[in-house]
Amino acid sequence: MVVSLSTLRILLVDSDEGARRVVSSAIKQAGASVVLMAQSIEQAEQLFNEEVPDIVVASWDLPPSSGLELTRTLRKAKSPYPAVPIVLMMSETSTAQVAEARDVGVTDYLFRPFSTKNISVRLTHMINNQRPFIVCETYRGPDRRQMKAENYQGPLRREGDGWMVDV
Amino acid sequence: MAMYAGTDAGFRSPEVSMELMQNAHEHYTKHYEVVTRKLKHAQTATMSSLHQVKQATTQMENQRIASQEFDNLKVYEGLWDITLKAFNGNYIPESALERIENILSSLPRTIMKFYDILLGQDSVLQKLIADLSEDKYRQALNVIRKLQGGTCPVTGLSPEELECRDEAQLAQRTHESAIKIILKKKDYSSRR
Repeated sequence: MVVSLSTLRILLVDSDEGARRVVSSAIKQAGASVVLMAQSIEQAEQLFNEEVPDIVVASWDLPPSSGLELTRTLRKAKSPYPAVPIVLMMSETSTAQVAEARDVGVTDYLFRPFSTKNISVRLTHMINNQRPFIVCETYRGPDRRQMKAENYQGPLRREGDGWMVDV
Repeated sequence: MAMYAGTDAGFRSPEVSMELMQNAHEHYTKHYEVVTRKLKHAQTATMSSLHQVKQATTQMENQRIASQEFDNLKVYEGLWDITLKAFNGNYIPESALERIENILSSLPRTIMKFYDILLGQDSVLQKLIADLSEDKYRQALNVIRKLQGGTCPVTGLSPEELECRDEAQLAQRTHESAIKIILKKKDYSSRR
């Protein structure tokens, strides 16, 4: 059963009005019927708590703070939906920034500029291939291991790996 | 600093990025609207054509030929109906829009004569077509494709693999559908 974007509520967070207009239009064209919009972290938090959206699409740049800070806030235990899928839109394409985004619990990222097709493919893929949500001392977010390495030799730590607690 | 495959630059100013995205998105939106309007005209033209054949059938000696023509037109009638339903609020890949336009450009003569008249009368459609800026679109698309063209370092999936999933999911969503037929490149024009 494929989940369609038309059944989901998406929160778009971007401080730039032009960007909000273009990206929200692209998300709607991608099939989403409800796109909530916020221009700051405060507004996003308020909308998030009131409306509890199914997906958050946020810009890396959210002056005076950032999309990373928003992710940290939404992932907190007291958040109404800590496991919400979060997509971060980034202007920079460095490995360091992607790794930083992944390590604060971002689900997926999109480099700017992107097309309607790119956002449609990413959101559809993300929502239909949800990963286990990991909570530990140093990390809260979706399972960061996505690559299926056939010759993986490292330790098996997740329940899905067949790892069992020895009681 | 390491950059991902497919990226030719580490950073583009938000203004440049925004302009490229806007050009690409506006073109897609207009193209989508153009194809939707054309499909509606094709639907109306097919209905007019069916009506004409129905009337002519009663006067024709060769009922068998008329019946074949009628059956062919009925296939088109069903195709427009299902395709327009699939369009209803859904994302349609650009490649599918192009395939639909190919089908629309090679309609049977009986439909085409009504279709051409309807296209000529639709001033909104003519304006949309005139407004499609192919140069700006191609330019934006080239940058976007280069940027998004690399394998995702997090998932290990290539854009083609993601796209295949996208098309497969779209086909599943509209399972009975014309889009599925179109994605399989079935050439309805051969039924003429």
